[in-house]
Amino acid sequence: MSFIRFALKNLFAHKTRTILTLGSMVVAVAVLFTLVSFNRGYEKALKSQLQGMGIHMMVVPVGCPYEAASLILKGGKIPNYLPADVLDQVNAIPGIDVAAPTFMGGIVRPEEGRTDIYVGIDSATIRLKNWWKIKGHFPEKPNDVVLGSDVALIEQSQVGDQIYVPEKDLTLDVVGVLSPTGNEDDGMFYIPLKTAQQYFVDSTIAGGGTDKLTGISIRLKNPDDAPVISSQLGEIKGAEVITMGELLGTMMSLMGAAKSLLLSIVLIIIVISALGVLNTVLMSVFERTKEIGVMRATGAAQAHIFGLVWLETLMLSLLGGIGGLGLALVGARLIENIVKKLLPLAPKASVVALEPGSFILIMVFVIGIAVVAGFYPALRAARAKPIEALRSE
Amino acid sequence: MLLLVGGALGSLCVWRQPDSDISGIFGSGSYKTVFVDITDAQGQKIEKRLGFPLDADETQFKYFPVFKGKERVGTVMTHAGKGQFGTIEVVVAVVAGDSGPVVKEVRIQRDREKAKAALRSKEFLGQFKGMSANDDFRMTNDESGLKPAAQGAEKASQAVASAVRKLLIVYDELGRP
Repeated sequence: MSFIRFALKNLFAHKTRTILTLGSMVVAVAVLFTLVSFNRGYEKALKSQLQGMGIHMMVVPVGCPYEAASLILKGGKIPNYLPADVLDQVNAIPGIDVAAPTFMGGIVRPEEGRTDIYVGIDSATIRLKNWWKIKGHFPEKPNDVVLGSDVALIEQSQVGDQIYVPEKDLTLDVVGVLSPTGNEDDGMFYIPLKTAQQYFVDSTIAGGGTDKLTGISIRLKNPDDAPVISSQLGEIKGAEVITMGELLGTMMSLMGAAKSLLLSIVLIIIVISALGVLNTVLMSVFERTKEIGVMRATGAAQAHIFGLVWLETLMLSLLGGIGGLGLALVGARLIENIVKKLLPLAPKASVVALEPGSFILIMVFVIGIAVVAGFYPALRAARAKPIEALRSE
Repeated sequence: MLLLVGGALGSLCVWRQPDSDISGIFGSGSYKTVFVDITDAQGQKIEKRLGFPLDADETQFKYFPVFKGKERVGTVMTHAGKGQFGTIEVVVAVVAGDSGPVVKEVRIQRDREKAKAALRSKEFLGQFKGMSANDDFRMTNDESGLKPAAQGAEKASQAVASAVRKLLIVYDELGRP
């Protein structure tokens, strides 16, 4: 214990220098911890959101499905629709529990910075999303609409109200409001499939017509059958299959490049911090050459000197690590809010997972830095010859 | 602009086009954003004058004093209220009158009403010019009150009028800051 106290006393003999070194360590560790937590949290939230959708795979028109989703969000024209008979072909494949056809149309509201998304559904969607809680009832009549919880809040609408879609001269009766789901369902207007097809199909698009679809969401009886069924679905003309695993992989790879860049920057910061620690301890060793000489002359072994200096490095790094983790815990939610605003495809759930595993990983990393950064100053101090050290000024 | 904040209503209603609103209403100018907490006593007075309770989360208001150089030329407030077919967001500019603040101009910044054009017309919105918190904001089809924007748009018209009245009363009760 007195060894630790001695090490601390040595460290804080030069408060400013030590605090500045600590500061750089704290920031570096905080950024690293946040990044690791974000990486884990994002994947976890995305997986959870995709699983929460209750969908194992989707059948979409041939082309780039991600581009189609983006175009709908921006109000652009998607390249093509799913042919009308695809649903029958999908339903004919054994092993499919529910196949829910959808027709999605978007109306851009630039002055509000958002797009209203109208999703045409039929009763299959209710079976697919059997965890939905609706205040009111499912759309039955052509002009019925169920609002996602966010939409209901924005439009200050409830069951019994009406919603007007000026761009389509369409008046909808609000017959239901979804309880918050925590995913993108909260931001949609759900209308009967036929109504969506009637009002939102673009007849100029190849394959247009009022019986077309923009997608079919599929739940399997047994998720283990996904590879077989996916290949069967892939044989349907004009259709493309995306499994949720592929979707997750694509989304994660979209993030991959940015993450690699960030991680590289953080590692550079860590190396600079480690050099700062090394510099601080080495300076301290140089300044205490005479003191070390006295210790050696009065019986301290090389191992004692080595251990003392190494302990100083370790304590400096540990303090920086703990401070950094504390800062990350406090600032993580703030960073999360910023990230969510900037990041496309951000899940609604928390994207920063503050897990004990990350905590331990970072602390092991910090100790590793201390071991490496402290080795040279400790060795230098231990090798000091008592006579020469005592002669030094 | 007085913006209800702290809850759903406030968070939904932002001042979407401050630059064009200021140039359109005041010619030119700059603005600041100011938050004011509503005390319990002020809340009670506001509710008494309104005749209905404020929402539980309407504990803070936001308004935008407008300046030309260093001179304050008016105040802008916003409100998101329930219309007939969804939310109507209203922008209200007030200036100092002989016996208190009066409306200089009212604009609709967002709505999904069928009578969109009529609701945004000078004939309808021009009626609010010069009105103060103590005036009668009821919609009638005769000369005794305000006229709805169009037949069938009574509810939306009243929503706009109620929003203007509410903002004027809140602004008044908060001491015309």
